[in-house]
Amino acid sequence: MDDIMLEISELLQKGRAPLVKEKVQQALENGCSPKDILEQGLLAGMDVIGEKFRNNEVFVPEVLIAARAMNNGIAVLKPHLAAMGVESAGCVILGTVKGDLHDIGKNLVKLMLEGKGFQVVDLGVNVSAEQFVKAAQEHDADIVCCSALLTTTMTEMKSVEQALRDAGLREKVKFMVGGAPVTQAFADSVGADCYTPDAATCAEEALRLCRA
Amino acid sequence: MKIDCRNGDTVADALKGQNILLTPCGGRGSCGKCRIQTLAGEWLPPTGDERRLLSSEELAQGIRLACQARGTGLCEVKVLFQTDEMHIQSAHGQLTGPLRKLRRDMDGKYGFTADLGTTTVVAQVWRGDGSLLGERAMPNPQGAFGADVISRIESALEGRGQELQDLAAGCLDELIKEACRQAGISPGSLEEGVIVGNTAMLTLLAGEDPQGLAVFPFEPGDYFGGWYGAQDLGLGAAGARIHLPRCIAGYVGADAVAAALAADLDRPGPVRLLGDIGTNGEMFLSLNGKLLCCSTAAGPAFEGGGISCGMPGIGGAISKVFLQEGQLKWETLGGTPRGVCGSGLLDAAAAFQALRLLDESGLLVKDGEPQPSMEIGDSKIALTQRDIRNLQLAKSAIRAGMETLLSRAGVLPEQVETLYLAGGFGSCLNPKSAGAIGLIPPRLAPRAEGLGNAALLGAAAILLREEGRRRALAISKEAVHLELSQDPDFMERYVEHMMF
Repeated sequence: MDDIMLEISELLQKGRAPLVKEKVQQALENGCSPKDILEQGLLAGMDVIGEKFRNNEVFVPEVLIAARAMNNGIAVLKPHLAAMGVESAGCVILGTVKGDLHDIGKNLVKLMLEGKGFQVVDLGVNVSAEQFVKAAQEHDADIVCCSALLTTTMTEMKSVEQALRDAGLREKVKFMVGGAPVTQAFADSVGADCYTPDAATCAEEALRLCRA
Repeated sequence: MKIDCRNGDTVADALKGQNILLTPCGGRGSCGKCRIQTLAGEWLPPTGDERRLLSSEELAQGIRLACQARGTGLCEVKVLFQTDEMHIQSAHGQLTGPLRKLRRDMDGKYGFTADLGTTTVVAQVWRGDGSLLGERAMPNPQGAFGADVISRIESALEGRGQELQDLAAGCLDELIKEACRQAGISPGSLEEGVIVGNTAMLTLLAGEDPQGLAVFPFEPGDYFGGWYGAQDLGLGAAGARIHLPRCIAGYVGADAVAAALAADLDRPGPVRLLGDIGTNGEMFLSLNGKLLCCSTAAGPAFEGGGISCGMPGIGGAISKVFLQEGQLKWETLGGTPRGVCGSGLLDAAAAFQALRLLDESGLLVKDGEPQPSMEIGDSKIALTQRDIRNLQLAKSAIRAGMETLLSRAGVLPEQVETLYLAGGFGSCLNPKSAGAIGLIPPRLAPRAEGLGNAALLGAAAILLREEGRRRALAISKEAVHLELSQDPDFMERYVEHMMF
């Protein structure tokens, strides 16, 4: 039974989407629990990719391909997981700040968060502070996560933090920031709870914040 | 070097205005390049960023980052990183083509042209008969505010626009004066001038608000295209009338328009592609004289930024890497190797690839094992895995831009007759290596042609040629600009071409 989990994990790392789908189906038929398939098969594989990405051993294209394979597997599992009432790790509102259209980094963050079992509400790019707040309220979010690639737009993160504060959400919602020009010092200056230099670390820290 | 830190200044602040390009990332403590060594004085302890970017041995030797290290009195430092000895490429020798049909009204008169580049500023003095009389170049002193246009725009928005304007004007003034001295004429006898530059550089020179360039949709407040008095631009030395050619978009400026003019892309003819490749890549596709253009942000990797051993094309830079009987060979621009410049970086990656030391995904491997870094032959200079990742991002941005242009026009790469490569890096690179690593479509490598500083060449055409100014204006108004940042087709290609 463990062999098939390992197989799913390895196929996912290689980005073999159709085979991942097939093996997940087969595992279900063999009587494996959907939760085990998710955690020991799919998420375990994504963890390996995340670790390799952080060490520069794999790059953006491999992460995207592996994530596509993961989503294929999750699609098969979803009805079963829902039936069993498997809880998500938490809800994250994610977006690139207003004035900024860069989305590759943000998409990687989304994939890594999903790889840790988070429910991610992706607001896309050019997202205003109000939109972040509205989504956080609507989805009863645990974390709001902002990305920016330009030094001229990253200052917008301060507005998002302020808007969360004004809406009375700051006690409840953790605020995370990231993107190429963002540094720890900048994150401190906008009152963020957490800054991480890469997508894989972001997902780990998000998990830590939600369990704290 | 003695500096005054009595106000608690950082070393970078204390050195500002001395024309030493110290802070590639604009002093945010993110690039780790602006290394100095503290020799004397009292210093505040290293910041978190310094501890992250410097090793404990380096910190023990007093090596610090200029943008982070704060002194508390009169101090003494040694600058370990500087780029003020820039290798400047001249546009000589290519002037015959575009200078046919000279303006009659410039006969016997003098004028100047200048390319106000983000990295390098060049000025030339001309006689109306098309003779180049003098040329001078220096690094853009605005570099103290950061190597890229975005950090300069940010500084201007923080209220330092006047300083940036003064630096640009002062630098142009000095270059024009020196070029005049070389030409043996007085700056007062210059009647006309043409200054090209990207939209942000012209905006800062004219002292206008760059807010529109800072955020989406990146629309400039002013597209330029008009005449200015030398005094309006703070140019005491220059001639009476100065023309700033019209820009196409926030990130396709007058320099790109001038380059397209220099390559005669607006003339009917075969399918041609032009790439001005640097930190920002501007690309034009000419379909029988009709123009389609776009820009992509390649980042500073081709100019040495974000590359651990990256440096500009000056002495000590490995500029060529090649294979000889299966052995990896290298050449520097003089002296023992100190780092690698853009063309050397491309060559090294292509050579690693040929030796199967770099796999398709961009992983450095040897005997099947991933390697953290790889030495370039016996040069003692190595590229790290992270350097390769930064190269992948940069080359992919350029390639995806070119292919998106071609695909929008329904043109296949093999239908392009000539690929013109312009800019300092663009015209120095080896097209074969560029094709091998996929910076340009591999099929176009044999059809690539270096143009040198095409923007400056185009500026001369605008100053001197009968129809130069009119044609530049027409290019700026008629070229169709593709905004790639929201184009899903571009994003897909961008990810695809990160692979080797």
